[in-house]
Amino acid sequence: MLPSAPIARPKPAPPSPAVPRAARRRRRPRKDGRDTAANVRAGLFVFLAAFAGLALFRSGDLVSTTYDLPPGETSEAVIALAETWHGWMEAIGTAQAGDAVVETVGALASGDLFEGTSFFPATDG
Amino acid sequence: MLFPTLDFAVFFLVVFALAWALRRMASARKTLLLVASYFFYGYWDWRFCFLLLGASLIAWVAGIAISGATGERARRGIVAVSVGVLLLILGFFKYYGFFLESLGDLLRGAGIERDLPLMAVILPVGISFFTFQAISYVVDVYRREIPAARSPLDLLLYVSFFPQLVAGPIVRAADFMPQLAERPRLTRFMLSYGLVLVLVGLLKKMVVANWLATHLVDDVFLVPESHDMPTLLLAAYGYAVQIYCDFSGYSDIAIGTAALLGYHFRENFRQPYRAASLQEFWRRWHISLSQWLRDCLYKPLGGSKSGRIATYRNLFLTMFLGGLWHGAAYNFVIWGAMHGAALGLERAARERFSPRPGGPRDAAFKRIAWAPRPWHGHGLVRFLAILATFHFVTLAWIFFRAENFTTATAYLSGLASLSGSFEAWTPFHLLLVFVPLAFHFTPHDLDMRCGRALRRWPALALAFGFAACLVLIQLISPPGTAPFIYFQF
Repeated sequence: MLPSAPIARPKPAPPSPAVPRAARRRRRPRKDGRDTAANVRAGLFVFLAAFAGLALFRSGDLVSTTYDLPPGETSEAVIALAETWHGWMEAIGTAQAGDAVVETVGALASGDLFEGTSFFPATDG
Repeated sequence: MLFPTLDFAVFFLVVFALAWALRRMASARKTLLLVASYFFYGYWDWRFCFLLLGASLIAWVAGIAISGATGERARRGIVAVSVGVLLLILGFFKYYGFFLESLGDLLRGAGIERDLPLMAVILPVGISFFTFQAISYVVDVYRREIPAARSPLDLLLYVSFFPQLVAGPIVRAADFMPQLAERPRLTRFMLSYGLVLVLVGLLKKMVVANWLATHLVDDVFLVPESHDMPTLLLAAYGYAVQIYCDFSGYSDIAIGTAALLGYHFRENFRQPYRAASLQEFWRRWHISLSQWLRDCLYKPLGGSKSGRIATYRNLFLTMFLGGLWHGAAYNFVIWGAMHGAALGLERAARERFSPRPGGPRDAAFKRIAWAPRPWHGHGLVRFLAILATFHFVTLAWIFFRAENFTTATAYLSGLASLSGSFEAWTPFHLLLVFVPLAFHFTPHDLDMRCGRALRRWPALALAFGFAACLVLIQLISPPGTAPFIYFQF
C-alpha cells in the first residue's frame, strides 16, 4: 500500500464576517442594558446631589417654598422641619456662604462693587 | 410648570426614575410619559388638557383617513380639512380678541354702534407649538415619511411630550415617532450631554435673560422717552441677547431633558448672531420653526420654483405670516414684514452681485482674499456683514418687544437723538450683553464637546460638578421666577 502523499490543503481563510466589526461592536444589547441601568443610577445620584447642594446653600429658599404650601397640619410640620434645617445650615455657615455670594452679585448689579465705574465717563447731553 | 422651579425638579426626578424603571415595558413607559406630560400641562390650567387632546385626536383621525384614502385628491382633501380645522382652533384662541376689537373700531368708524359678543378668551400656553406638531404629523403622513399611527398612544405622546410642549423646539413627527418604537437607551454621553444642556439652559435663562430683563430692558422699553440714546442702544442690544438666551435656554433645557429620557431632538439655535446674512440668520435662529415654515408654508406657496417675482412674494408672505403667528398686533406684523422685505432685497442683491461660478469676476474675486464674495467669504467683509445683520435684527427686535407701535417709534426717535451719557454702560450690563455675544464665536458644538469630555468622569465627580454649577446658578440669578418669553406664543 503506497503511502498516501499528504495533500497540501490551503489554510482555511477566516470566515468573513457577515456583520462588519464596527457594527458588531455597536450591537451589544446585554451590555447596553447594563450601561443604561448604570447611567440611570448615575443620573439619579447626580439629581440627589443637586438637591443636597441646594438644601445646603439655599436653605432659606426651602423655608420660603414651604410657606407657599396650603395651610394644614402637615404643612405646619413641613415648615417646622424646613426652619429647623435652615437653622442648622446657619449654624454650620453654609447658608451664610450662599447669602454672601447673593450679596456680592447684588452689589455688582447695583454698581456698589465698582463705585462710580462706568464704561464711558458721564457727559452732558 | 416652569423649568427652573423646585416643582419641576421634583416632577422630573420622579418621571426620570419611573420612566427608566419601565424601560422594558414600552406601552407602560409611553403611558407614564403621556400622563406626566398632561400633568405638566394641566399644572397651569387643567381645562386646556382637553384642547391638547382634541388637537391630537384630530391629527390621529386625519392620519388614519389619509393612509386609508385611495386617490391623491382625497388625500389632499383630508390634509386640507384637518390642517384647516387645527388652524381654525389656533386662530380662534390667538386672534379672536384682536378681530373683534378691529371690527368694533371699523363699525364705529362707519357710524354703526353694535354690541359685539365679547368673550374673555385666554390664550392657552404653547397652543402654537402643539398645533404645529399636530400639523407636522398630518403632513408627514401625507408625504409618506411615516406611517399613520394605528394606536393613538404614540401620537398623543408625540404632540404632548412635556420637554418641548410649551415652547418648542417643534419636533417633526418623522424624527420623533420612530424613536418611540425603539427600546430607549441612556448612554454615558446622553447623560453628560443632557446635564450640560440643562445647566447651559438654566444659566442662559435664569442668569443672563432674567438679569437683563429685570435690570435693564423692561425699564427702558416701558418708557423709552425718559432714556437717552446710549441707554436705548444698550437696552436694544440687551433685548437681542435676552430673547436669545431666554428662548435658546428653553430649547437647551428641552433637548437636555429629552436626552436624559433617552430621546434625541435636533438643535434649535446655532449661534444666530454670527450670521452674515438674514438668510443665514434664519438657518440659525429657531431652526425648527424656520424649517416648519419652509416645509409647510414657503414650499406649498411655490417656494423659489415659480419665478423671481413669485419667489420674493413667497419669501415676504412666509415672514409676514411668521410675524402674525407671534400675535395679533401691528408690532409683530411690522417685525415680520421687515424681515420678509429685507430677505427679498438680500436675495435680489445676491442674484445681482454674486459672481457666476467660473466667470471672469469669480476668478478675480478668488485672487483677493477679502473680496466681496457676498455672505460666504471670510475676513473683513464677513465681519462687516455680521455687524450689519446683527444690527438689522436688533432694530427689528425693537418692534417685537415694544408694547405698541407708538412706543416703538418713540424708541427709534430716542435712538436717533445721538446725545446722552453712557452711565448705563456699567461693567455688569456690559458683562451681560457682550459675554453671550462673544460665545457666538466659539465652536458651535461646544456643549457637545463638553458632554463628550464629561462622559469619562466618574458618577461622583459628575454629581459634584453638576450640583456645584446648579447651586452657583441659583445663587447668582436674580430673585423670582420669570416665565419664558415664548410661552405667550
